[in-house]
Amino acid sequence: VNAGSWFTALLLVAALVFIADSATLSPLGRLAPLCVLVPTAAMTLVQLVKDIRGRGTAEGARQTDGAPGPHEGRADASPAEAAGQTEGAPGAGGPFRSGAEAAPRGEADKAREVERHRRQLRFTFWIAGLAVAIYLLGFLLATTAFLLLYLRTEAGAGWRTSLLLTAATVSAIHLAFTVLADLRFPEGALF
Amino acid sequence: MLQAAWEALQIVLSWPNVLYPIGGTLLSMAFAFVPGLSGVTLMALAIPWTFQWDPLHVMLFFGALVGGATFMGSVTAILFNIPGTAPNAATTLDGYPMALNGEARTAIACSAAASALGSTVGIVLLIALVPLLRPLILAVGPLELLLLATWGLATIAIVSRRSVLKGLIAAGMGLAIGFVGVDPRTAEDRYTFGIEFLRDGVPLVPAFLGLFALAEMIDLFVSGRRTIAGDGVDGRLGGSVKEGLLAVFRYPGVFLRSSLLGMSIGTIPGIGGTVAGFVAYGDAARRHPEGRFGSGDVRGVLASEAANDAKDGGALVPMLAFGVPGSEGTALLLTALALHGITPGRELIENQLSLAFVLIWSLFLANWLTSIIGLLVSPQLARFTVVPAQKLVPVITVILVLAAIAYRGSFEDLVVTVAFGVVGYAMKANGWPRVSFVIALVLATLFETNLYLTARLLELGRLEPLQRPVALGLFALMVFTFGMPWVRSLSARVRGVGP
Repeated sequence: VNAGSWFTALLLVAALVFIADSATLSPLGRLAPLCVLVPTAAMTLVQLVKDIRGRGTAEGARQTDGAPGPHEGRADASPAEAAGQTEGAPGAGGPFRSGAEAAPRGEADKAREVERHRRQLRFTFWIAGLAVAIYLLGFLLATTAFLLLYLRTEAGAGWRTSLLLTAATVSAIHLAFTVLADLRFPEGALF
Repeated sequence: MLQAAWEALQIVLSWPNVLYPIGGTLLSMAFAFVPGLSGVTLMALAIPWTFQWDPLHVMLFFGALVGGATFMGSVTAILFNIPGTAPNAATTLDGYPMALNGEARTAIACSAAASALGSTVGIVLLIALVPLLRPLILAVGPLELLLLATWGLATIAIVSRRSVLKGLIAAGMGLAIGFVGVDPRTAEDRYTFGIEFLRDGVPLVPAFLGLFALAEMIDLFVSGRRTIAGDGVDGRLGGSVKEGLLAVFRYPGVFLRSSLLGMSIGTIPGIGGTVAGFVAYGDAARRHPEGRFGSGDVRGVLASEAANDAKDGGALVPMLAFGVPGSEGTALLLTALALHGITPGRELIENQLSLAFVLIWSLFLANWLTSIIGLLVSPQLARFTVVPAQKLVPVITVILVLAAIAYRGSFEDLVVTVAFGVVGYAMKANGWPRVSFVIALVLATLFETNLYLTARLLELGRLEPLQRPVALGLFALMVFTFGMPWVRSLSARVRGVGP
């Protein structure tokens, strides 16, 4: 089972949950959804079988999203990237890893995938942390703290750059939205 | 009619009237450069500001707000893969890869030219259509709208032609997500799972912010690239403004077809610019299989932007004729005009035609102004592709979070953005076409409503499909759209050059 199959499996579960929930609806209410969801679930099952058997990987590797990845067509892209194997995220690992990347690779590639997986988790923590901070502290306090912390720790910027960029961004947001547009952001639960 | 048009042009260009469209254009450009905000957001905010204004000035100002935002939305689509407004979503498909290939200036210039000329085509056709408005709108009913929505979905097979199965699954999931909320026919909660917020359905703007903007930020972070354009292209921005401008004249067929498609789709209430952009893009991609669509083909930018701006002229058709808004922008415009005692419809067309032309000229002026100003500043804007990516990620993330919250002032919208951001990244990383998902999400309500209406009309014997020429034409178009790829593939096999 390649890692890309997990996403297909999640889609299948979502489709089945929607179908199950349709049972609570009246015949009129569930007509159009079931017309769409039943064939969608069947097609997802076929795709999952293809993924598990490995037949879907080549297709996944060739396909472009219509919103192609950052390395497609780039002069500095690796041959694998240029071939569209990464479909966007260049070799995303873990649960988001492309099926095409299931092929055995060298130690360096494995280490790179582990690092990418770590970066996915790190960004998830950053964005989740920002959302929780906005809920607790309100928009301006939370974004100020987020920008400063992120720039210092993640982007490796110096204190001067971090403070300047944070001040510029927060001031611009405050001026454009609070002063000029008179927008009111949700207040924090604590402040 | 020409007399009214000439009078209106003089009114628009007179001092100080001309300041209103210029001010409106500059404001909407600034708003559209912030991903997630748009001319529509600005229009909503501006309605209370203009209570005391003269109705003429309201016409001038709001006309500019409708026309001024679209081009700047394409700039963020090209530079950051973040559509500034929803109708710019199709521009990301080739605009962003062009920026990555070092052709940001070409893409922006092409977008500017396509926007200005596309809007001109839309407005010229609008003026030509003024005498024919009523019979045109009356020819479109639920069956035609259903066929149009289905045709929009059919383009999915074209856009994701290398993996039709994944394209269809993504479309199915998009429709399913579009069904979330209270069913307007039965008043039942569908797929809300007890969450009160979902009763109004999944909000499109926060969902798009997640799918297109946040997903890209995750990707940018995970990739570890030093600049947006990648480590290998620091300071080497290629492309030229001239080349971008000339693309419109180099591919006149793509430009004209896309403008006509945009104008036509714009006239249909509720379809909107997002569909126009994708349909025109799909059409261009289908007609030019030799192209590098999806990897940085200038024709992709040309098609989507020409259609986007041409649709504004089209959207004014039902609004001016019947007071039926063709898009979100015209819905707000209608609201603003009603507050000032202007009621579009027969009265406006027959007795106040010059006032209607004021709106049309203001829209025209805004489209040209935004393209010219945008073009002048494009060299500076293009430099954004070589700014340090890891420092840009938190700034853009904060702006998109702001856009999600500012949309309705609701924290739940941020949750939607984050959820769709993760889904968008997972789709991108695993080779699932986000385009199919987005098209289906946009078309879900239209599709379902008109499916029920058509079925009901057929049941009651009130609909004769074979006696509706527009429906027959759309059906033929669908057959053609579905059939052409198979015919081409078959013919290639017969010639021995296919797979």
